[in-house]
Amino acid sequence: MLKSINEDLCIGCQICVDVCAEDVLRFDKDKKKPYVAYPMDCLGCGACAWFCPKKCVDVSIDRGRPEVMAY
Amino acid sequence: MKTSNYEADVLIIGGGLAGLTAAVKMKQIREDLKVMVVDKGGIGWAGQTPLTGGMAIYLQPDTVDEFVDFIVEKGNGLSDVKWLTRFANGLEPSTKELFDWGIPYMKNPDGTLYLSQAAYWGVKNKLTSFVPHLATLHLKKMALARGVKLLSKIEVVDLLKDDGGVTGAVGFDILSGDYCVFKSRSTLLANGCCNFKGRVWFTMTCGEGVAAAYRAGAKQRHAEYAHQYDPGDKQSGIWFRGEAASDFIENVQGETFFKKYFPGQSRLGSWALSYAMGAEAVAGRGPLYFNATANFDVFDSNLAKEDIRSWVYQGGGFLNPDRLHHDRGGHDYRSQKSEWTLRFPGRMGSVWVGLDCRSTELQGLWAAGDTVISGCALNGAMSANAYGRWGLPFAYVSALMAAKDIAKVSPNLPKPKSNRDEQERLREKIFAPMASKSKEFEPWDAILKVQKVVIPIKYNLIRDEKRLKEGLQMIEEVRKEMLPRVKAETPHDLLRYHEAESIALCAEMTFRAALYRTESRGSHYREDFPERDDRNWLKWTVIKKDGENMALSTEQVPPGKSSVKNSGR
Repeated sequence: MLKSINEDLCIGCQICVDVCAEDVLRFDKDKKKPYVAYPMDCLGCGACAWFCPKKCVDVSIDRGRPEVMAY
Repeated sequence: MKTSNYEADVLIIGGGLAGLTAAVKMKQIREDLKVMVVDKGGIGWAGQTPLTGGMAIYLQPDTVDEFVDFIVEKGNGLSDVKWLTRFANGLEPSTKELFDWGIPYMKNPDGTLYLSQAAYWGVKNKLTSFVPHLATLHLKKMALARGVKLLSKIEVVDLLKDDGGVTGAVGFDILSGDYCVFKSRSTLLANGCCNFKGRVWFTMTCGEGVAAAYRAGAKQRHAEYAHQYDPGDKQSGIWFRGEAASDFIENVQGETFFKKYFPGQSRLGSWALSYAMGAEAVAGRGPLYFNATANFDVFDSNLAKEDIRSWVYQGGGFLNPDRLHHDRGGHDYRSQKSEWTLRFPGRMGSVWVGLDCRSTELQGLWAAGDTVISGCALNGAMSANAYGRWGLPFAYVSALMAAKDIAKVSPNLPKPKSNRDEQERLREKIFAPMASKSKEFEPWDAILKVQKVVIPIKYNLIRDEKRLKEGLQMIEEVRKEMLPRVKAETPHDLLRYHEAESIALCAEMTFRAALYRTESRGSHYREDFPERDDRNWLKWTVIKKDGENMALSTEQVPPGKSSVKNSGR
């Protein structure tokens, strides 16, 4: 689950917004910062945190949506 | 709601490795072509590519024949040998071309391309490596430098047709909600396969291109083989493809069991280990565990070689199984056994195109990469990536093929006419969920219900007529009862709705094809038809839209280099 973005560290590069597979993040053009628009759709993949050049994304592996298991 | 209109000679739907490679190549051949790439994500970072492992198979020319023979033998008679041979022959020149473009591959000290030995289950191939997100970012820069127009955050839903040919596409801007109309002489679908959001990674690709192609009348092939299950850690979610782990998986009684199901066989592709695990689970001998505490180094030596693995990770590659396993709470494999399970990465890319990636039914349509990876039936009776390391090279090999053909053909295709009635009809259809008065369901309700059919092994791995029909009924309920009662309040909801619709359609194709094939062969296993039946089923299943119906038929596998030997099943 995408918990927060540290706006003090964030440089507004939008990599997190671009890489998110689930459109969880949107970009505030006035603040020039991303924000968590749809937290329930976060599956906890961690791509946003990994690719953030300033390591300002805090995301856990918890999912907003349940996981269906194979058995 | 505004309508944004775009025109191009070539529209490329999907800006990942395949789409961007094709864009760059087309412009190299024909600088005058107006090329536009559109993607639902942020181009350069979007799609599957940045999250992949960055390793790609590579064949030196003197190993191509042996490779093809091996894959054909393991494919249990259903390999499309012509496609497989094209792919195999294309690996070296395509890799060298991308290397010359400056894609940052791993290099030798003298600057030449570094070739690693394949993992133990490799099939005579070598491996090359690049840091995937650096590759797509490099391709993005090349595309922009050549005047390719890149449009991000646009969900394409349907193809535009005119006089039986494809003349562009329509969709919507995920940010503004505007309707987007793309008119083009040629359209290349390169927006991936359907993964059904079945695993935590690679969830962006929901088969929208496969669905759009189906609705436009393009043939689909081999849909019953689009199901891929990967064995991996239950806690962390990391997986290992191929049979690297087969001697290390034990059931609840502490027995290793792979050899029981496939005595004396190896290198069948990861479907075999997945089947064995599924069968043990169904027999009540789960939970299943990965146990390499006695010989972790042997397991480790089965994986891709350390040289190439650590290079990708040091370059910032996302898919580092060690890191992800650790960060996601996984056990230390050297000291503890760990529960494993099967996860479902999907990989339904059933569009069937000719050897030049050109649609054989629809003028003006091409498809490449994962959109066609199962439809190409490269490795026969198993899912497209059952050996691993094929997805990335298939993306760029097929993209280069498509680009060459499009550059040749596109200038002679007619300029698309403006068909306002059709554009208006599609606009109403695409935005219907926003106009809906009912708010009974969210799009994720529909996605979950389809996942409850495609993911459980009782429906999609250990198949039988009764459960396949049960699954189909659930999918029909999603398509006919749930989706029409979804209310999309925002463009984000609308995106999720169209993903749900594509996921449901791809699931229906998979299940209808699985019901149709009344035999067992490779990864398609029917409890009610457990034997392989070459007399009736040395054929591919074909799906095509016929009015409102999904019509199934077969096409004979051409005689020639094919195997009547049983490989696994």
